[in-house]
Amino acid sequence: MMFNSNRVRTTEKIENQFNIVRTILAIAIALGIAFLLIMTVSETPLADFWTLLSGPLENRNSMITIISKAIPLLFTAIAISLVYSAGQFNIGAEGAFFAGSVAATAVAILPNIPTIIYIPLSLLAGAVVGAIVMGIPAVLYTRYNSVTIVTSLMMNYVALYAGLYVILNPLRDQAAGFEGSYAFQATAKLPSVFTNRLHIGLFIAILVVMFAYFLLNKTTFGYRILAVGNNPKFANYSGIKVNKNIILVTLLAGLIAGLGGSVEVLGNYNRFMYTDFTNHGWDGMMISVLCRNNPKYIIVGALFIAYLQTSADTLNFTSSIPPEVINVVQAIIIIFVAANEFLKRWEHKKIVENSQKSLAIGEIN
Amino acid sequence: MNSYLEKIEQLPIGNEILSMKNITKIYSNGFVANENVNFSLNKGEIHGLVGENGAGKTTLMKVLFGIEEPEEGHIELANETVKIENPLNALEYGVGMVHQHFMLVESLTVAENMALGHEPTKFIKFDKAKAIENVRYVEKKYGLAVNPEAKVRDLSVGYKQRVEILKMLLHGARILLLDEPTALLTPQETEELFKQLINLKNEGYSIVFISHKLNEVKAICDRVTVLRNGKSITTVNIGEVNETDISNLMVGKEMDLNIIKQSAKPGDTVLKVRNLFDYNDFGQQVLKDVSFDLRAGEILGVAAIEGNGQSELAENLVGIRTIKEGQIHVKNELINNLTIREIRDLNVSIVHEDRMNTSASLNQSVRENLISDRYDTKEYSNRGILDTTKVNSLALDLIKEYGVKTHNEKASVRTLSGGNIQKVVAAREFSSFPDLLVVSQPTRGIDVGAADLIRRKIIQLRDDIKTAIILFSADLTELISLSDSLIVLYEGELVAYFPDSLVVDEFILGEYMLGIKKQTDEERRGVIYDV
Repeated sequence: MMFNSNRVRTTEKIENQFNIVRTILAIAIALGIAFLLIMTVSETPLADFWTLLSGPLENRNSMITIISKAIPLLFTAIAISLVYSAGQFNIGAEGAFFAGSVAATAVAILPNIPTIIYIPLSLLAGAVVGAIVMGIPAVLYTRYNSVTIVTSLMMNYVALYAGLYVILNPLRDQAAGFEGSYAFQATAKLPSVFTNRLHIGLFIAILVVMFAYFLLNKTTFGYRILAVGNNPKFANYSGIKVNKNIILVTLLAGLIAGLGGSVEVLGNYNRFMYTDFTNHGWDGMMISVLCRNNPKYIIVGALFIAYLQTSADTLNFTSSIPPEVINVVQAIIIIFVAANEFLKRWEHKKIVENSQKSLAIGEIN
Repeated sequence: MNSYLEKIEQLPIGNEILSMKNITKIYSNGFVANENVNFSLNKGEIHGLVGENGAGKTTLMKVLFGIEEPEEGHIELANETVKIENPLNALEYGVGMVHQHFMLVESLTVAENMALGHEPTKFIKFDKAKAIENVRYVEKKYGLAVNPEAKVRDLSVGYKQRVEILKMLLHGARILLLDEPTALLTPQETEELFKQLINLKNEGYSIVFISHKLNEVKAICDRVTVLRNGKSITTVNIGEVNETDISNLMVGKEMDLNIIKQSAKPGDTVLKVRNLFDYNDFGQQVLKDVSFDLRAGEILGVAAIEGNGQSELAENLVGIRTIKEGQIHVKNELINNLTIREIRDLNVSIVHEDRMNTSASLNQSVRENLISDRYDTKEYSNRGILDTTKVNSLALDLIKEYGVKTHNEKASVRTLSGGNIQKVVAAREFSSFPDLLVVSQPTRGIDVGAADLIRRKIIQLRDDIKTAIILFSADLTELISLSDSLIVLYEGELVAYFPDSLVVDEFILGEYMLGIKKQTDEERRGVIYDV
């Protein structure tokens, strides 16, 4: 029996609307608190707050900066949303991103590789190493039932320090005068697009987002990922190999995070110069939470976070406001978005009203 | 004793003690569980509350017990409007509820459980002696024997229920709400319970009795209120109606409760189980040397009290549990080392007893739930890419064929009622035309209409597809009338085989299920045709 649902909304529609309201309200509250913080340190709070809101829009350069900052975030956010879709709290994207950039560096500085395969080989190396970093916790979980959030957190440090060791020893360019690797071969660098501050990584990132969306919604593998993530008992009962699919999706996520690391270094730098975590993995987690692990929203989410970070930089140049204000804003947003009970009473009231409306016009439940 | 309890005490038997007026309750998922429901209870009566699953019986009682807050309506107790905020508050008004799933702490003793919420103390310490004394007092007062020092986890289901009822009485309940109290009881335990309830009634206690078993309602209740689709349909004196009348009121149309089926025409052996043993996580034996055969076009019922190995047997048959000892053949293929996928590929369908956590994925859509066994077959996908058009039309067809009440195929399964969730499960598992169907508790806790549909579909599979069906059900009436032959498990052992289910009744089965009787080896060996 199907009911005509034109006149009344379905409960799910209301739930979706509330998710959007929750997100917008979270952002508003966070900005409100940011304003209070700015008041405590600034003599011109209104002007500074305005810079925070609109700074990046004032010139073309900042807009390019936003896009440039969003590129790596797309990779990590997609990686995280894939593992979260499978119900795995694997937070290894940070380490996978870092290790991926190291592996890409190792290939990109090699002399005498045929020109055309420089880029593909470097990217591949980064992706494979990223898959290993994120994949190990998944194997440990499926084999020994270890706690993924802990093992993946630890793997991040393994990736960081192992990566730094490689960069600062075999790959270190003593002549550089600072801690960095040898310079990349010119043919290993990603070609620029539109301006010399953007590179083809932009297109790779967009392709990755589209691929993830297609994978989750239109393929049998995506079906398996969501079944495992929503209810592993049901997946197992249906004949889906739960552990195998957890490992596969985690490896894929690691590939994407590692690829992101490779794209980032080969697109923006002449040599490897990181000395610590880049925070792209953590930011990717935040975006994934903000977008409820749905690739459909991730481009907007990544641009939003990139926007905030760009305004923080602008503020840093033009005022005495520390850029950390933006970290506070981000944290508050996440707290409210992740707080399921936030606005629950209001949502309940709306759903009740809607149901009463549908009762009144004689549609039964 | 507060003023309300005094008033209740003084009220003459037969007067209205409680009245719920125009109760409307809507859940946060938009489900309208109660719509303008009116309900009235007299002092010293047993009042049946019946209705299909999702009709709103449990919700109404939760409102009365202060667990759910109604959107509209009010409650009158001894003619005074009261607001019941929470269960402790409900008990102050003399209202006590015994849930379908017991609210007992397994690792604590009977006395400790009964004291919870109103713990007697000595200084700041829990006064165990006083708690035990309290139990002894009510135990004597109501003639319900319990051992206050026994650990709850060691008790049988019927015993636990006695503890729950006593607990409510100890805390001052004068009105008892019993939510499907007999669902898990053996016929013998049910009889015992009924005696106790009638005693309480004679003492002036008022009881609301929720049940799906209309013969029990008929046997014990004075009046019955029928709910349908969240609305109160009518309240009648039990003498004025028979079971068929009640059932018709529940579903709102004439419904034949009898299962009509021809006698089976069994074909070749499809399922062959030999010397199956199994052990639980604690190393205790749960299946002991079980052997039987099941033939095409035959329904074999498995009767057992919960926890006697039937769940483990069902899971062994389909690969959810690994087979530890013994062999299982499906269509002459040894399945001991096959995965669930490989067993399903032998054309085996599974309806698991745990509908909410295993047979369905509540947060996914009806459509996604309907394709979980076939999304990757050639028909619905091509090289790993889903054929959305075919998937959608399959979903729409099955929703129509099984009469699943849902907004559309994209609605989350969690927004459906229990009966409709089970229809989704049955639609998926039955529509693949299985050679072997392992079906557990197909109609547990669902409405008469949905149950009837599912039973008819099972018989249809047997007759049209020649499916071999093994049926696990706690509803003995259903088990006896649906099955062609029956086996009984007691403590993991096959203790009886009845080639013809027509010759047994619930009491005969009950004796084997309780371990009072056991057939000879000769009789039990009859279940092995394929030597």
